[in-house]
Amino acid sequence: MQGRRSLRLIGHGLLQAGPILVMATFLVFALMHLVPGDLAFTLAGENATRERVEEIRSLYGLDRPVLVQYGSWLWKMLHGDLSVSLLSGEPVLTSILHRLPVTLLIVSAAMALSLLLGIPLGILASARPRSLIDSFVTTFASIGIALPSFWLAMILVSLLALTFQWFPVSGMVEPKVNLFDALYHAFLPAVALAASGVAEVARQTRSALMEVQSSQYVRTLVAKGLPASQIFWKHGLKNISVTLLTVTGLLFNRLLGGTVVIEAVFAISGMGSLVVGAATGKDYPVVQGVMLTMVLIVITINLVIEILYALLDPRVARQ
Amino acid sequence: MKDSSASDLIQNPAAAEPLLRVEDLSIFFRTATGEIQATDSISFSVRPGERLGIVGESGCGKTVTGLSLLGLLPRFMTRVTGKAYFEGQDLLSMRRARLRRISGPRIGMIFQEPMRALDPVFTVGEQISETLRAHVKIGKAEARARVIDALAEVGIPSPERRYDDYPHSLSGGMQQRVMIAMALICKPRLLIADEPTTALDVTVQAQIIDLLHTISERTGTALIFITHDLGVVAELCTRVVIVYAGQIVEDAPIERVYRSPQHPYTSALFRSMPSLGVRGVPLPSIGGRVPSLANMPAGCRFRERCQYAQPECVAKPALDTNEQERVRCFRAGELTLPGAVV
Ligand SMILES: Nc1ncnc2c1ncn2[C@@H]1O[C@H](COP(=O)(O)OP(=O)(O)OP(=O)(O)O)[C@@H](O)[C@H]1O
Ligand SMILES: [Mg+2]
Repeated sequence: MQGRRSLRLIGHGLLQAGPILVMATFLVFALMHLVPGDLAFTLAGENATRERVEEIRSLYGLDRPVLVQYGSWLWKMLHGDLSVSLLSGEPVLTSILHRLPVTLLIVSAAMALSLLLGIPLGILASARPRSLIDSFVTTFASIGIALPSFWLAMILVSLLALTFQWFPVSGMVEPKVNLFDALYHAFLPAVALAASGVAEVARQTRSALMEVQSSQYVRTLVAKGLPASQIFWKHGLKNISVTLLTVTGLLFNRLLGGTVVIEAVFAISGMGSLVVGAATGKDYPVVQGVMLTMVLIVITINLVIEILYALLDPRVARQ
Repeated sequence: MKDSSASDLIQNPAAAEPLLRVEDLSIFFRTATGEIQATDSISFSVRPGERLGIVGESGCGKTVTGLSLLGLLPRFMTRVTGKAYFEGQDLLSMRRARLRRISGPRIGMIFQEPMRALDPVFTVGEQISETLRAHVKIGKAEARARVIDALAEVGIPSPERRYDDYPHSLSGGMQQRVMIAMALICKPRLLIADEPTTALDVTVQAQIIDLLHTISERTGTALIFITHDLGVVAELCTRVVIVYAGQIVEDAPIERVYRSPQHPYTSALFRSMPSLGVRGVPLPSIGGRVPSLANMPAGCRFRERCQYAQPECVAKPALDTNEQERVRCFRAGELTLPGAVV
């Protein structure tokens, strides 16, 4: 029964994701066309001849209706053809596959840090409201959320990398070359990125738990004589898991966006630095490719969250 | 259970040792503006099989009294003084671990809003089953069978299927039945019900009252029934305690209170409920308001609203200590107050 319910939920989620996917990909596609001026001119470069411009125009299919262009673009994308970089001539897919693991590693590490530190901190704080530990966590959370990650990144670099030389100042190793070394390089960036995540998770865990503790159903659980440990580990955690899931989803999107700045500070060649470089060099196919990848990742993550959400909270599944 | 002796006790409650004896229960709340006292020396007894109604206007301390018995008030802001002996042991001074062996298996409790009193993310069957398994050594399968029996007993149709339902998919009446099944799963001797029907439709209310009546009669479970509704008390209870502004003003067997109330507040409550078939002048409600906890008048707390008040009422009237019928009024006995037809 549980299995069939999950299947139905997944189907339902995919159905919902469909239109979003079409809209998002269309936006990414349309981005190219929002560039001021004639796109063929822009693509051809400043000193191109008329013939070259026309050649580009038909090469990119710019002389056809927009929807047809979108259709064929989408078709090519679906087959992994993300076109080639205007600057390097390298296939866009190749550069993305090269850099995506680096970015995902940093984001995952930051995510793991946020949850592994944030949840216990939130639990500790909620266990004794208004105690010393609670004030500490609450204060830390306010600071962590307000602190800009690039500032923290620079502090970390100057302290832990330059002064103590415990960590590399910059650069990255590809995860598939040496995962351990990659993690070592990813540590400082992940910490800088995770600070606000830890704070956010701790704060949300704390407030969700406090709400559960003062709820009427917990009063019932106490009245029926359940041990405090069972009330917390069984009922408390399951009730806050929905909140945690929502926070995780939002946080993932935010961390993914945050890598743009962090990769710049640490001079890491990930997706963030790729898109920044491409944007400044007007390398539109690359910008488009990166955007598309990010959008797909975000939609997938949200879909997974949505499904888990419905599995955890029976009230959602009914709708 | 000893059913025959249980019904004997209902006929003649005075014969039994009290199951619960509450003595001088006072509840204080620490607030930003200082400590306020919510109840003042509440004392009452419940004998085995007895069904005690606790009646009073909103805010007079009924809920906090019920909650304090099982240590359910928020700890960091409450102070509770007095004693509450249940089967000889004081619930109020008991440690949590010991209280857990009474709260649940020996005393059950149900609440006003069943929807909020049930954990939304567990099935109702699981919630009842875990209660049983917390107190009785029993396998999961066996527990499930007993839970299904219990669901059937409280009148839930096709209980095997309802077992796996989540609270939100049941109606309010069904949720309250689940609460009752859960509170009774360990066969407690006392059930505390705090306005269990207020949130329900009128027809469902009557069914739940019937159910509580049937169960109490059949199993001899004693009941503390907290309500605003004197009509329901008349149907269900054997005895009633009337509370006003945190104090007991009257406590007597049900027929006596309805036939000839001794406290002007009790009589006023009858008059404010036209549905009861009132003798005397019908009034929509009692004039004036309950004094606020922060500035309680020193003497009789009902004085300001009482049409029989006299100069002597500025002093604090004591509650008679006659075990069977108690009243807190200087003029008790001298007044003939209108009651209600039961
Ligand atoms: N946590 C609290 N902090 C401060 N005051 C409280 C708290 N809980 C209850 N009180 C006060 O104690 C008094 C008694 O409240 P209680 O809920 O017992 O009333 P009640 O008789 O059950 O009323 P109702 O019929 O509306 O349920 C009220 O004045 C209420 O404001
Ligand atoms: Mg109440």
